[in-house]
Amino acid sequence: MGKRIQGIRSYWNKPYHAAYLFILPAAILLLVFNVIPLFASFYISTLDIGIAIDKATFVGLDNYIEALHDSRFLNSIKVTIFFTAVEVPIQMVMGLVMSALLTKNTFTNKLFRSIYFLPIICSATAIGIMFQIILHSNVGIVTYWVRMLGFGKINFLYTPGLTMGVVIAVSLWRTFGISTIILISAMQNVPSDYYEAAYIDGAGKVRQFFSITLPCIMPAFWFLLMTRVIGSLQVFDLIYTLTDGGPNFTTETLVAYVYTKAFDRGSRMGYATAMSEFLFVFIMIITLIQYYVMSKTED
Amino acid sequence: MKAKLMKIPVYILFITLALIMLIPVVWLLFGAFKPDTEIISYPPTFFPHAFTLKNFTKCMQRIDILRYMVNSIVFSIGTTIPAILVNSLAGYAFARYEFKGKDIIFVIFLATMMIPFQVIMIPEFLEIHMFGMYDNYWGLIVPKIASAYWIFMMRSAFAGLPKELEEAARIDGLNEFGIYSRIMIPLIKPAIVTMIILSVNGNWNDLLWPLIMTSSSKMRTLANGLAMFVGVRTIEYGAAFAGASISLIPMLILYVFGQRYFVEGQATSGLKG
Amino acid sequence: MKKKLVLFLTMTMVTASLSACGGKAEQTNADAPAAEKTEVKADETASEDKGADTTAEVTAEPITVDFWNSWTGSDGDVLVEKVNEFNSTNPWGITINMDITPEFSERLATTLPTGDCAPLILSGTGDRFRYGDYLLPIDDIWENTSLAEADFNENAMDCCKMDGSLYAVPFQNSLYYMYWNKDLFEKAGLDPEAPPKNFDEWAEYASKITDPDANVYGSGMFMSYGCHQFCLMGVEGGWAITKADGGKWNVNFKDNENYKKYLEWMKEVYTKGDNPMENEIDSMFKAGQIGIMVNGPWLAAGADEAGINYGMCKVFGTEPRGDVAGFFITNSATDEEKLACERFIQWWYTGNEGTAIEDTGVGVWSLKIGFPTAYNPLAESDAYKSNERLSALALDSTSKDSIWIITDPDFKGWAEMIGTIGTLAESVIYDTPIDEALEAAQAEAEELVKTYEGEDALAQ
Repeated sequence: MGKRIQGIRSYWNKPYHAAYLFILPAAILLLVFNVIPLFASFYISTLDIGIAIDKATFVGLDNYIEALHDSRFLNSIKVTIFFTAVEVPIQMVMGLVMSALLTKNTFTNKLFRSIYFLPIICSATAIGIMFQIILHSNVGIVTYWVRMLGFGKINFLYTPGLTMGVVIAVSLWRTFGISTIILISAMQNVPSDYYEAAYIDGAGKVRQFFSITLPCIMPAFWFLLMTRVIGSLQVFDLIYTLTDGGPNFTTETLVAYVYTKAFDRGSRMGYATAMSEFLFVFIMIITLIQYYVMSKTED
Repeated sequence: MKAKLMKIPVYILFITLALIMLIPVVWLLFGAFKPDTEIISYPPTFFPHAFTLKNFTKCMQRIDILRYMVNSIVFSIGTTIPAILVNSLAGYAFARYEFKGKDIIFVIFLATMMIPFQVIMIPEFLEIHMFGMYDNYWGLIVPKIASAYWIFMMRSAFAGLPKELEEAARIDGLNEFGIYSRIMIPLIKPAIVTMIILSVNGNWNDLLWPLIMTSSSKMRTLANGLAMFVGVRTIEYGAAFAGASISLIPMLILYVFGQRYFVEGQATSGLKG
Repeated sequence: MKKKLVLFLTMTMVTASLSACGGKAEQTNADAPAAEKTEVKADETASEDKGADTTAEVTAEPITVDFWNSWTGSDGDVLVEKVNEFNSTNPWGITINMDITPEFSERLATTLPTGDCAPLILSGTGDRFRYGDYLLPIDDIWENTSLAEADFNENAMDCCKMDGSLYAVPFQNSLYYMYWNKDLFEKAGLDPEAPPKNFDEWAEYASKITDPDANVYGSGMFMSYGCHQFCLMGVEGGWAITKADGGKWNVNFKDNENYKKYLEWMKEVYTKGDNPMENEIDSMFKAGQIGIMVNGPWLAAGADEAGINYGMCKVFGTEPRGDVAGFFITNSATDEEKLACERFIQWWYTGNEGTAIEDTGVGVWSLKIGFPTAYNPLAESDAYKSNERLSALALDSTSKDSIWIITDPDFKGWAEMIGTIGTLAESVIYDTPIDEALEAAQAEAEELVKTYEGEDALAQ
């Protein structure tokens, strides 16, 4: 009996087997609470349903075909891609620069890190109302200051083109602290003797960053890049609380539109789900490409 | 001397960014002490002119802050603690082991992040209802434990560690779980602390999930309670800001407390010891 | 050694937290199913209700009923107050357990199919089409309670019916009025007691009031809110979707000269810079920066608080437009819960025995918050008539069609039309040619008719 237990133990203690044991709890939870609902959503996307799921008619791919002819849907894709293409690179560069400058645990660095982290702890609702008022075209304090400084009257939230920039700026404002602390925690794990060796070799700070820090934090960098891309392609709550897609749909992202279709007034859950399947496929492709590149570079 | 001079532009950058980060939040905190009429007055004010505590009393009267806060704490901490174990185990496996199907399983895990919650909300609700987890802490917490985001983050933290670690440990006779728990986990403490802060904070501010998975007002969380002040037609700015300030404090404490655990040069000491 | 300790602590914390939430979960688990829940809570409240039992002939079991709505903000305050009063004084042993939340439709979407929804909800009456399958007809309310159909405004009542059955009782008329800032009128040399009587006067006054240096705008139209826009647009051109012969529907956007006239007028006000490009106009009015605007009664309380010297009247003297919200009972309700809901609704209008009409729920809702009422006994009361603001806004029972906004109240897709109007206005403001914008609105509305009323419901 004891031998058998020992046998089981040594079987599961093989790295190859232990790996399955280690991912098991997460796999079960994700399967039950995420993968199954995900498959259910594919089914829902072929139905014509209003607000509630139990009264539905099967319509096949009609919802998908309708989406391709929906100009608001196509516009929302454009907006989403634009947002991601601008926000993510700025976020990554800013995160890298700031974390490189703030890695050391000195008092001032800690202070600045805390300040940059501050926006993250505000809820989306609070951020939404706050910026709506401080950027208000009339009673907003930032608008007022900008005007006092002689830049004229700027309508931050209702100027097509500019408003998208404001949304991106607020998004950076809110999340760049996260990127920074994630990168800092990765940088702090870089063994310090690597730097000592480089210092003896006479490498300057900048060269140290590119030849030691960057390669060592690649896993964290990829994590950040991939999750930021996924998150940006799904950007919703900021849009919902700040601009509600306006002006004239110039900031209406795909998830914002999906949400409107699903829950606002005349709700069409099936159609909304079909639209988000397009997003799912799109994110999947982008992520697979990144994953492929990541695996290559990590080896 | 030259190095000192070089630092000046860096500090200008730090301070400018800090101001941009701070001003809106400070404005919000000040707003909590202004009457509504001052928040939307023209010309706008930054410092409160008519200082008032009315917003806070209104906040206390209208919602059961204590009860909501307890719910928020149970939800956010109750989710985070098991999440550390489950997600770090999985992340560790993906980072340090080679096994069959690794890539495909990882991509399936990632796929769960790719569809907006609003879309899988209804099937997920039905499932939770079926399991009898609706309107109790189980339904609130269990589905939120495993998350591709945290698994991915843990994976990247473990992947950054030097390759020689396990071999040394195996020679020392540690079993696989021992290597994970005794060697690896302590080495990624900064990442764990980051995860704790972000996870607690994310759940703390989550609006939709606690609302959908519970029905009784006894189960309300603080974030939901605060949304009460943001009406469809009228917003009670002062009360909303007061509420937001109150809910900010626990997170601030958590962060300041967590900061202490970002310690330099973990991996090195691990190797040497 | 230290590492082992840390790990051990982590593990104990995990188990402890799991068992801790287990313990709490069991507590709440006990009252998870709706039926059990009512029993548990009913016991708790039974004792305190006995004292309040004034009508001896009523011998109902104590019962607790959930009540969900989205009336956040200061309106919610009044609701909470009234519900508490009901809970402590009603003679039937009913406890209303109210939960107010802004994410109302998400909650209904998940709970209606499983029967976990609250028995009583408050919602726009247009939602009878949306949630129809999950709502209970409540025609029996006239037998079960002392309320009488004749006591309600006929127009409001029409919005509560579907296929001849009653699904809602009118709770609130969200009608839109003209607001004007008297101080700004005076400053611009205008008569502060004479609001504009037509579109030309609106534009004329607005440009006189506008003062770029002080950041003051004469006109305060909302850019993309369909209801606000249509209050003016409808004055010029009537409903956007109307009934045609044979149960078919007309869509009236394309080549509609009156709509075109309105949109041209609106566009010009914006072009001249007399109207801010902004949707958050309420704040500006409360800050004293807006001369003339159209809005619902909810603006009044905030404007009073801000000390604005303003007037309020019907838009160009025409009948007010708006929509109606009502009490609904969902099919998650048991028979007992349904009866309890109906009794609460009755109490909202009549109060306890001897309650003066101005102290009832409906009375407070009108007199304190300022919504015009659909309940005739209140409308005829002295307190209501002597309320200056309310009497200026009184519903005219002779004009049958006035109360509804945008489309014929029977059109099932009415709610989506609000978005269509908003889009139309916004696209014109951002320089889409008016004809093109109207054509787009026509196409969108025709799609809605097909979706909601059937493929062949469109009159050609």
